[in-house]
Amino acid sequence: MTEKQASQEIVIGIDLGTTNSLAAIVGKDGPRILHQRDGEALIPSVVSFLDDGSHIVGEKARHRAVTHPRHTVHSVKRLMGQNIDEVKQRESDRLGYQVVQAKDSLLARIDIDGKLYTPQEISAMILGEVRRTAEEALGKPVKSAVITVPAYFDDAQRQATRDAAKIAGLQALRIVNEPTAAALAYGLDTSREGTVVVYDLGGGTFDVSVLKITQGVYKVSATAGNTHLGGDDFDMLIVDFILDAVKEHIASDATIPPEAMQQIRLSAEQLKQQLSASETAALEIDLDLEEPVHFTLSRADFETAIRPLIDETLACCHSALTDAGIQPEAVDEVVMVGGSTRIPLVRQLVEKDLGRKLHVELDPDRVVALGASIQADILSGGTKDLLLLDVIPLSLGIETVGGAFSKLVTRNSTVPARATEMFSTSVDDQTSIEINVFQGERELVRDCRQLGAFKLRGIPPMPAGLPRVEVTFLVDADGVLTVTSREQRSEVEASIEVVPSHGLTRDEVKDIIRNSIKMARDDFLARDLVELRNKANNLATGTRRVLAMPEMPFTDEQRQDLETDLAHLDSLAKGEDIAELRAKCDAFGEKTQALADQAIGEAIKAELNREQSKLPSSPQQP
Amino acid sequence: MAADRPFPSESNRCSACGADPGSNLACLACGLILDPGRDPEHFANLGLDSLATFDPAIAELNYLKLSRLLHPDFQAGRDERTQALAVRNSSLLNEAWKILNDDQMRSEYLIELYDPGVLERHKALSPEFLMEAMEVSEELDDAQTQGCKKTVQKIANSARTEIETRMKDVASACAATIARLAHKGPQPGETLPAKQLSTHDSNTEQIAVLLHQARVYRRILRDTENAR
Repeated sequence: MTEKQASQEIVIGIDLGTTNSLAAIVGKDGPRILHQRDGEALIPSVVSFLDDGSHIVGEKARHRAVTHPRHTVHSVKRLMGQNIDEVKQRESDRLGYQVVQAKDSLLARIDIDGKLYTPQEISAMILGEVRRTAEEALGKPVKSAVITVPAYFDDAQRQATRDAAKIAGLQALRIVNEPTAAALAYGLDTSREGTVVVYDLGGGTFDVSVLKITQGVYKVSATAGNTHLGGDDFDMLIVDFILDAVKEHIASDATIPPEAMQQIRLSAEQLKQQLSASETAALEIDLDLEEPVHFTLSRADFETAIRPLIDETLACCHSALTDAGIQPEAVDEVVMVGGSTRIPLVRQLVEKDLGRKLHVELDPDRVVALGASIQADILSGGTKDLLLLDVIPLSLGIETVGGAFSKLVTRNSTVPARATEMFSTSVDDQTSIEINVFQGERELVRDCRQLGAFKLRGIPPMPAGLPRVEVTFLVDADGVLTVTSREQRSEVEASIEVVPSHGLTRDEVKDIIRNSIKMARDDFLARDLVELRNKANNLATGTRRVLAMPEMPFTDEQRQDLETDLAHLDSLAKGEDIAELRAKCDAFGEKTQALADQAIGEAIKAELNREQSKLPSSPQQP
Repeated sequence: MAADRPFPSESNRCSACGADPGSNLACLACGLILDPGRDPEHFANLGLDSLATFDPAIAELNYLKLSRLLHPDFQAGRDERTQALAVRNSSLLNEAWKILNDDQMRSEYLIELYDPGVLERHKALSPEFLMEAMEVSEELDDAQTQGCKKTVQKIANSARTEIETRMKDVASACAATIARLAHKGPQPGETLPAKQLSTHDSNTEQIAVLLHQARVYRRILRDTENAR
């Protein structure tokens, strides 16, 4: 680690997953996962709201999914940047909590006892927990991060992720695609060259990326995927099996309460995991019926059920290869990422289909976070050996006459990417032009996703058709679009107002941040606690060092007194009481200051003795 | 490195190191990020001479080298203006690479550079050629509905041959045009030697027709890939 790097601000890599989230950082010995205090790395991406309006995140929240399904939000990643009808269509009854339409738009909101939350806010809570974990593990505040998203996330979903970071008080230095991050983690230890396919099947999303690695440059040639295909969908297929079994035990018109549904959902997840290791899996499901429902599922039945979904992922692989202009035989390596690649059938079919041995050496749940931390290291001025060149997953364009979609930046263009387009007016003295921006691959805009409307204002009044407004569409390295424009005859910079169709406006983000003062206060306190704990640890370590010095003339009583103080300090540092810890730190610091001075004195004396004893002519110390 | 390549604008000097920067976007000698102005030319952006024979290996080398100089990832701690310039130049570099790394797009770009509008003027293909292409398309449709993979494969192979023949002709015709231009020689300091040919240059007309025909066969080839 160079000195320059050490002085730089800490940047962590965060895998913000559908099921779990985690952080990693590049240290002296390379990338490593930042663990929670209990040693766990994975933080379940679940937020549960308590009666007093506060919330908890992670494992404890996950347990509340069964007892408090309406107050517990899981799989929020699948709601990011989505309309209410998109969510209703896909997720319908699998979510235990209420998803409603926003008051002033079509966007999905999460309804907790009448209080509406945006998916960005919920994601921000998860990011906040990840940050706290990282700060505790590092003993330092963390302000910046690289956050991963599925490669196939569109502009709205990327914007939503950026906004979530902003709300969490984190600067998202870069949004990196998950499969690309994984490739980076795999490629780090070797100077690998060649064509790599990354197959990333996670909890909620599927991505495949084809990369060409040349001289440390990781260039994505093509990517394809489905942002709503993952382990959650496999769980739902098992849920259907269980429901069929349960229905034999209950009245035909009885409805299953949400608590039971969530219990079934978690049971399905367990069964799925068991089936990766054994041929059959069985569970007792206690639904407060007369007796628990006994349920058995064979791996064969499970595999038959999920087969169509896996076939869909394989079709994606082939379209990515075609887009990349690469024959399957030319693929050098296949890397498997995401928890769902633990399913034996997935491995078996991908291996057979691509005809390559699969890379499964790294933990599929952690490889993305590790890759993100490598990118974080690059961005904070660390390694310059590696460079990622990623692509935009879906074409960007504008609406033209008759609702046709005119592509300006085609899919799989390397980012940053740009396109310019000339616009003019259709009536005399027209001073503004509205441009509708869409993302997708279809011919008509009604089949694509609208990203927003851009209003060009401030065009000088001229006869119709005379103004020449050049609009530049720039997709940055995060895959996010920005638009600038200028009128060429007058050289006037036309101003642009962006009205996002799916995301939050800049003002909305500001409002959320302003409204989350309590959260900010919590964050502040959490950071305070981290810093205090750190201070306490330093004090304790220093004092113990002094106590261990043989030359220090302590009485037994003094030693006893200091040991008591140290024990007290340790126990306070493990607790959450900031005020008491601060008071103890201050008092103990003052007390030990004298000790420290004394220790320094003794150390100097000892040093002098040694120096003098080296001189043969010097007289002996008395 | 810069000395290995001929570059048309001899008067161009890097303000930081005095060397020939080699590219419009950044000085290949010292790494300084340059302001290329508006609509800079793709060959010069990628540090190539449009009048030299295209060498894919040199193009890739330059692309990788310029990527490392320009990519926003490597601009940590730089001032805002430099960062914005790096994003813009990166996007210009990616655009240049995308076009020049593709035989079809590079050839189209090249002839438009020296004879603007030629592709549009010769868009209409001969009835004989269109008839032939239509027959192949119909044959492909039939093969698809009948699920005859062998015929699809045969059509794909013959489409590849048709494309290759035309691209070979394009390459030699381009070389001839370039030789004539190079003989004339661009004026010093001129980075975009547009309109050096008369608007009715028979050579570029011939290239335009070949490129349009190649596009038709590329579409057929893509259809065979989608069929599989």
